[in-house]
Amino acid sequence: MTPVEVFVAAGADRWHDAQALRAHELVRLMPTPRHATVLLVAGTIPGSAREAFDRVHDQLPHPRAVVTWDEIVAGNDVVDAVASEIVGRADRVMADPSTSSPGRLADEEPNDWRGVGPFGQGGEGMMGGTPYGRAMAMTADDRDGLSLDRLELRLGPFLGQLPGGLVADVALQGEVIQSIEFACAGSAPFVTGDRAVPVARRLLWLSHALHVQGLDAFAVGAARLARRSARLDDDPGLARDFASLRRRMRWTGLRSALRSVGDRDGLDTWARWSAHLDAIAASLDGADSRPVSADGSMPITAAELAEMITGLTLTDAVTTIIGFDIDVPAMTTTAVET
Amino acid sequence: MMSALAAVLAVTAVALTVQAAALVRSEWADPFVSTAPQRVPFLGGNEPATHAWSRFHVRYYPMTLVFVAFEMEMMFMYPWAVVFIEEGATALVEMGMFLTILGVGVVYAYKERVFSWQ
Repeated sequence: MTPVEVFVAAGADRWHDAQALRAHELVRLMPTPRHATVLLVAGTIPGSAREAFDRVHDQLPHPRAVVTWDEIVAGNDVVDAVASEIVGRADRVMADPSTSSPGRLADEEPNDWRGVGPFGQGGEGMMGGTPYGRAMAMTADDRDGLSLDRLELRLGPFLGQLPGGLVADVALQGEVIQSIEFACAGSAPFVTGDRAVPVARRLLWLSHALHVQGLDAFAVGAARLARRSARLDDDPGLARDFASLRRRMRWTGLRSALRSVGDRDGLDTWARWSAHLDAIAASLDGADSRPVSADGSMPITAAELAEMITGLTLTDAVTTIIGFDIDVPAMTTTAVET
Repeated sequence: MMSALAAVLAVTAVALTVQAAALVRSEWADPFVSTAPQRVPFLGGNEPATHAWSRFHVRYYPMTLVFVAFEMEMMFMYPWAVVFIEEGATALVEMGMFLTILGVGVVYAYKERVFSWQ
């Protein structure tokens, strides 16, 4: 049976849980809504993300269906129940496309541009008007002493590469990040490394991190281990299978890809991954779930993280962000309180 | 001759008809046309403030120039190979000098960090 293509719009509180779907054979998580048939709404979508959610919803092509994780009554295995619901809804909407979820936003261009200008492209001259609906980027100094265009973007809160709920205002020149600011209180510590969390959650972090690195087969393996660890408290083969996954990861070139990326206090992203992997192995071996920050590499504040990744390429920046297991709910709560 | 031309015209007519039918179906008969929100680049739910058509520093540009330069140098070696048998050692020495000068150029480019991406 062909897996149903799903895009997950996850709130910060349910984002890790949704990663477990990666291990399910009936569904396939897609990187953008344009590739998906079903939109899975997982967790709480805050009011500030409502418009972003509506836009993501409308970006799914018709026929489309929406499934809400929190409305599903599950037995022992909530991931199974969610996957079954997704398949059922996809089948129904495919059989009757008239039941496709209607659009939420108005079908309007951001600016009136059609027919304006000498070629009808929406502008005149080098910088005039809004060609194809959007203003041209303004110039700013770059790191080579040139004055070139500065692309301003707001990434998140539903970008698959970043943790759910994380919003970052980024200014890019080419692929280089010139400035970045996270939507949270500037000094809030927001990684989970400084506290103990269940091993299943750490494995779900690993699954997502491997997916971002392009190692999807390994990501599925990590998600399967996470589901096993969540189902059974005492699975004797789990530690052995995790050790096997870790051994195979050594042959992927991951170490060389993560080395020297995101250096802080002499520790790079590979060192942080190693700390996470050691913490998982220790938990599976029966030790108490210990903090990852035993080596002093974590926690980090939003402002420190922004400073670290300014000047990196976008790819290296995402790799660095993922290297920290960011606790977005804690970050958001702190932001609301301050 | 006429039958061949008729066949070509018939195939062209069929192709145009099928193409026109597909266009009509996609533009008019399909209720699910792309909407303005669907044409927005995917950024995780937000819209970009500016057009993606932006100018940035192509940092591999010097490397590209060096590559093109050496591609052109190779062109000089084809006529040299033609006369090599006739000229013998003289041609070998001359080409050796030429390649040595080019080699110095590569070393200079390397020292100037032309081959570094960052």
